[in-house]
Amino acid sequence: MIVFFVSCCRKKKRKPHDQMNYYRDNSHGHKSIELQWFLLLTKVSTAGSEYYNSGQHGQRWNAATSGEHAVKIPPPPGSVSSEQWPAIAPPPPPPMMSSSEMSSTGFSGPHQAPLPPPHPALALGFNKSTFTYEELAAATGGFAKGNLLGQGGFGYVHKGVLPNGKEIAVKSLKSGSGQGEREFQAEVDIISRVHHRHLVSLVGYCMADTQRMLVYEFVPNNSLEYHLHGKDHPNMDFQARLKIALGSAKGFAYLHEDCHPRIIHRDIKAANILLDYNYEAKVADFGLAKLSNDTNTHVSTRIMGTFGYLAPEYASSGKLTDKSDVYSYGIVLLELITGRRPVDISSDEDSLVDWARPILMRVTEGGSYEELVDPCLGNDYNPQEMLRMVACAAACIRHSARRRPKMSQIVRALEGDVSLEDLNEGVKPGHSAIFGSSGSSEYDSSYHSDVKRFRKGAMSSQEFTSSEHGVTDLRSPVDLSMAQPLVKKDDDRDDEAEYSPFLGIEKGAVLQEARVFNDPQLDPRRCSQVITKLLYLLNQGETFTKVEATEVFFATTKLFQSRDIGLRRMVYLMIKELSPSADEVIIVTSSLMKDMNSKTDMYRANAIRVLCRITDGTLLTQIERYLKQAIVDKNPVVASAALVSGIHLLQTNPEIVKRWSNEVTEAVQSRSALVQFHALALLHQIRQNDRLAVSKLVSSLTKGTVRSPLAQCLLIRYTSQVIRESMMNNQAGDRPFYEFLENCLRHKADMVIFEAARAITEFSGVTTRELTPAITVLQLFLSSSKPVLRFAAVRILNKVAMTHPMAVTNCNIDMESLISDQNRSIATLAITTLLKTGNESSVDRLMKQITNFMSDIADEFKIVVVEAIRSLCLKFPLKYRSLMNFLSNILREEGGFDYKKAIVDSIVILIRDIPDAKESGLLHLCEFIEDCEFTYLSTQILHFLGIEGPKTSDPSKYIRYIYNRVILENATVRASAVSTLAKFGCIVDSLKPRIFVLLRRCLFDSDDEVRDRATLYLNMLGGEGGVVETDQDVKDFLFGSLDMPLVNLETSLKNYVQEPSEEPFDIDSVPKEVKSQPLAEKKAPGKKPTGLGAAPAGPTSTIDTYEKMLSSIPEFSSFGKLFKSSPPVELTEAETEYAVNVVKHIFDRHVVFQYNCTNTVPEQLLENVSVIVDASEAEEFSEVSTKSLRSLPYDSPGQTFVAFEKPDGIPAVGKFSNTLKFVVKEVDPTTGDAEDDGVDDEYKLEDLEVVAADYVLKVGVSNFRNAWESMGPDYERVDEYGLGARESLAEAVNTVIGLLGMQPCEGTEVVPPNSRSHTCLLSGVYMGNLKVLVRLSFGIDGPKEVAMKLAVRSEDESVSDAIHEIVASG
Amino acid sequence: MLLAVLIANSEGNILVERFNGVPAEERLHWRSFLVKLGAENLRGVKNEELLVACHKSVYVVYTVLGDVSIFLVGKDEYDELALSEAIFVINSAIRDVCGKPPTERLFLDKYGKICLCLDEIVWKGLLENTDKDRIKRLIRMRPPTDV
Repeated sequence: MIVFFVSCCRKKKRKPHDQMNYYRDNSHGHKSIELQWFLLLTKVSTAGSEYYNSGQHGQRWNAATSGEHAVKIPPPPGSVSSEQWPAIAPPPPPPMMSSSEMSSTGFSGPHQAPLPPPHPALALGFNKSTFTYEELAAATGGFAKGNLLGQGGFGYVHKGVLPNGKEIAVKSLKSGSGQGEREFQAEVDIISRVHHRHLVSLVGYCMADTQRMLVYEFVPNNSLEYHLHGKDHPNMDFQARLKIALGSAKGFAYLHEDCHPRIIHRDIKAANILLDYNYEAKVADFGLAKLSNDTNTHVSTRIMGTFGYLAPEYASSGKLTDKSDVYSYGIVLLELITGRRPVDISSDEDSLVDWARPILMRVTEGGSYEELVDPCLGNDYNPQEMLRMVACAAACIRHSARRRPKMSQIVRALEGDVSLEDLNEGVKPGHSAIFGSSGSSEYDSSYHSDVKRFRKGAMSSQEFTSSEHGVTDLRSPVDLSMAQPLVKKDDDRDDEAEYSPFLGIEKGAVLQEARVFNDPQLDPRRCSQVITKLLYLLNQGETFTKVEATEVFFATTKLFQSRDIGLRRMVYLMIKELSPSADEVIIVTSSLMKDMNSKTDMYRANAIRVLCRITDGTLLTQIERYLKQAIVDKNPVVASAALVSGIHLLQTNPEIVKRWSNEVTEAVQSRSALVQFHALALLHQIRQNDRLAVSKLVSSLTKGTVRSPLAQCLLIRYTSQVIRESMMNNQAGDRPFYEFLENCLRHKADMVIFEAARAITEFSGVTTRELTPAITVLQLFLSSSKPVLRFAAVRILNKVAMTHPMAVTNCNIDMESLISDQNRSIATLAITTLLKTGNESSVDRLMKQITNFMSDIADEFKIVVVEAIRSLCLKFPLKYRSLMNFLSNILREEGGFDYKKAIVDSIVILIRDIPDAKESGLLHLCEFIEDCEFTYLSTQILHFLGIEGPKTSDPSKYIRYIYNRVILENATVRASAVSTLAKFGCIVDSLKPRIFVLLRRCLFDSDDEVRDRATLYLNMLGGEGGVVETDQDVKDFLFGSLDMPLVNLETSLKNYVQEPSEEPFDIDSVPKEVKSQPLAEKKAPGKKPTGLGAAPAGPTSTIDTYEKMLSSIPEFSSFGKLFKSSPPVELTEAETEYAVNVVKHIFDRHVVFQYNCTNTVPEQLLENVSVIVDASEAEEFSEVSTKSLRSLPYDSPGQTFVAFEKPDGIPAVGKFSNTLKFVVKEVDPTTGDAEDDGVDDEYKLEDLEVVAADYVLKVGVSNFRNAWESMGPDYERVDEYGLGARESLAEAVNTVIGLLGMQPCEGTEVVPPNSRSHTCLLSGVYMGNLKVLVRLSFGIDGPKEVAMKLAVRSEDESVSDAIHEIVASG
Repeated sequence: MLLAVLIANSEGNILVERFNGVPAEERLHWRSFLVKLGAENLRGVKNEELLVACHKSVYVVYTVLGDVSIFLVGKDEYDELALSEAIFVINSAIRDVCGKPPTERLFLDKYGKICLCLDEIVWKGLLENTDKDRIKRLIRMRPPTDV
């Protein structure tokens, strides 16, 4: 019962500790768990005392202690006196789950009582456990130097004598351990209840302020270290050494296996093994690791020179377990055997373990151990006993922690009770019994499989197993090895809970460790571990500096010397991760080239991958031959490696990879599925621009066999590309490959089915007949149990619903059930699909479902839904009430800015488009701004309210909401509210007086802007007496659009501020049209060579507007208002010596060509640059002036201009040929100085045309129909034109749009595929600021003859005629 | 392109992170997005049950295996289906290396091997190997059996 309870407690209690705490310091948490655990045990032990006392141990114990064994437990804080605490028994025997306990006692029992001696506090005559500082000071002579016994990682140790004459050792712990009283007490409690004849007992403690002291029994004969290595030490004989080895082993076995909680010493070394005059060993300092800050302890221990004792896994993982104790004990054994120090700091020799290991290796293979034995011993030892010690030492220092024996096994082996084979249990035959072939858990999979095997067969009851174990001790080692793992299982779990192998990993330390790569004798296991750590660091986002990366890279390259195959695999990975620079790559190239030609396939494959990862073009040409061979290698791994490399290399070295197409074509026929997949991908990439080749590839593969679903998916993709391209040229007729795709819908792999379904749904002009099978398949997947399949299906159907909503309606029922899908992506897609496919009658039901759904999805999904609802509302305007209600409800709920903005935008659009929804919508918005946290939205709504509010039946009801903003909000919103008030005042006369009152109040606002606006509006509206402006002016000011792009205004204002001027800013100087950037602005900055001297401050990069620039040039200042500037037209080919483009500026009576010139020759300076224009083919134009460019240095663009006069108001057209004329001067590239003398030169530019479209501004209208109606039929001109044979309808439409240079409206420039007729709507502003609208109706007949009906309406008859003329002459 | 493979522990600490073609400045964003996604959705999910999400034109497939969460991000041809194929391979490779759905500790113990597996499965954003037995052999530098 108790056993069961305790084991349950262990499990339960460990749980919280199991939580991943590698990422934070959890030492305190750890201790509190220990404390809880201790308390729990205390209770259990009290409750279980009956059982305990009746047991075998109890009897022995009682016999020895007369029942008076109890330690005085220190009182908890606040208790009256320690004496009042009842004596509590030490922990009960360990529960059965630790079967080793049974076996341990089973063995040592007959020889020696394994159980603790009487409690020393009593045996030694101590009668108290807490001491005051004064008492201890008195005992140690004021901590006199003369009484100093030693100094360790934990602090000083003084000898002392208590008043009753008993000798003690007082250990003063270093302060600053940071431990609180309770925790310290808890730890001390645990240590003080541990008593064993081979352990130094703690008899008491002292807490004074931050000072913590431990009082131990005094062990008189110094430490093992002193006896082995001290000056003038007496030579210990072998029997004494064996006795010490055995004694200390028993002490450690007790700590590890019989103590509860078990104690890991963590600092085993000769100095911590104390001796009495009979050479009885007593282990000191156990349990202290927890009493001090862990890191400090270990760090200081290391500094103290006990490095030689630390187990290798500590170096790699920072963890110390019972098995690392075993390792340290092994070192102590070696010291006893050899008389050597673990590390001799004063010499360069190997550490003890490095020296002894090869010898031990030979011993296990039958060699002799004499070489090891301490010369001081001579031949004075029992060879059999010595062999046992040697074998134990060998087993203890195994690399693999798991393969080391437990302390109880060592005790048995040293006692000679079992064969030495016992030490090898759990080690698989074939592995070296001593060291194993590999070390860390990383490589212990064989061991794991043993564990697994055993676990399967193991008995379920723990009691049974442990007793089983208890009696198996005399069986053959094979049986033992079967039993062992179960014990280990428990140990493993402890380890798992305690540490991450990367605990405390630190870049600097790992880089330091990477120096092992340079060792002449490489330790592959160690190196692999270090690489793993480096990988871990890199994967954690750690970066190496250039120097660090280079250093690691160089060190890594040394590992090519090792023949260890596992290490080589790690090296490949490491090099790829480090991605060395070009100059470093050369170091590994030869090694990799060697591997690439290796007979071992796997070396080849990996070397290819690494080389391709780090290679550049030059290296690639060298290895190209091998890569081509590799592509057709019979080993699929090699072939795949080369093919995937090819895919990557195609990005960087396309011309090389394209040469491999023969090999790749061959690989497509490979029998290996993956090779075929990779080859297909590469081949398609190589040939993607060769339509015929792709078409051939698809034709052959769709008939042949494709071996993997992945490749099949690729094939489907390529097939649909071929279909797309062939359909473009072939409007009618059967769709090629449809049958293949339809067959794919019945493929066994889901991904192929989806790919085919998607391909079919994406056909341009897909018919219902084609669509149906795909939709049916997708519908089935909607009810799949796998989220991925549901998602994929609903995603495709959602897309289909955009273009073919009717085709998807069959799936509506399945979709509706997806609204409640746990996966919100699926639910959102389902809802938005339903919103598209739903009919008017289902809207209410749908909204109800969505309302429930909205509360638990993220904003990004909500936005999608809001947008879908908006379009649904526009589709079914009669349903606006429920949809608007829905929107206003969600507007009141929590949500981020984007979400709220989406809702507000939707409401605004609905108000605009559905007149009935206006009043309720505005009120919803008003309510929203009452509690809106987003300034942007508040101002947007206020602005909108100002426009729409005054037009409602009862504008006054909005005023309250608006004025509240003036009172409650921040300055930006207040200013907006003031403007909105003014708009109401302007439109609604009845409200004016009251608006004035409110505006006057705003004059006292704390913010400048608010006051300014209020003042302005009051003056304007006549609130301050006397009407200053006419009604129309006021309305224009308040409601008119700015009439210019804000970007332009911003630029102009910035320029104005930069160049202070007396004159006020003139808003008319802001250019009105949106224009493309001058070429110079597109150039990357910072390329200018500094040697060229100060380049003239070209206006190009700082130019704000063409108009400002042109008006600043005296020759052009009289041309009047600029009507239009064209986008730049290139007059030179790309990458010529001089790059020239031209911008056509159109004025009423003039045209100015602005030639933007760039000199791309660094060795040249151009001067007196101008363009000679031949206007012989432009009869109506006559040249009036030229402005040349004085100097054009390298890469510093400049402009030259030519102006022409043309007939007023007539869209004159013509062709101009251009020649660049200049004086060229050589420039010395080193000094940047130009020669004095230049040479005249010319450079032919391409021709330039002025076309009709140059006289039309692209200005769109939001509602073409309204604009068309309001323009009226007065100046409508209609005519029909035959456009002749055209490539397609779309091509004809685009040509006419280009010809007229007008703005296409409402997306009518897009011609649906396969359509036979099309209507296109255009709008623009014609020269003279006359609006013009065009309606084009196209029709196409069989042989692609296109006919067009052109209807033009404009504000002037002549404009309508002009448009017809443009078309007629175009 | 398979944009990212990310493996985190149950608390959202990153254990493995491999990005392909994701600019460095966007990685942090992805990391936190994925971890958040996992924290919100992975509770109580069975081992290897695939969850899916999309973020603009990018797909995410993710799952739980023992104590670790695995996330894959892809775009274009690496849509949710291709990603689930890839995550299936990764799952089975990790299972294979660890012998069971790993605890975090076990995962870290086998870290080197897992890195090798990932190296065999995904190479700079392309799926390279898909068969766990082959991968198992490849990381030990043994040729595949189906030669």
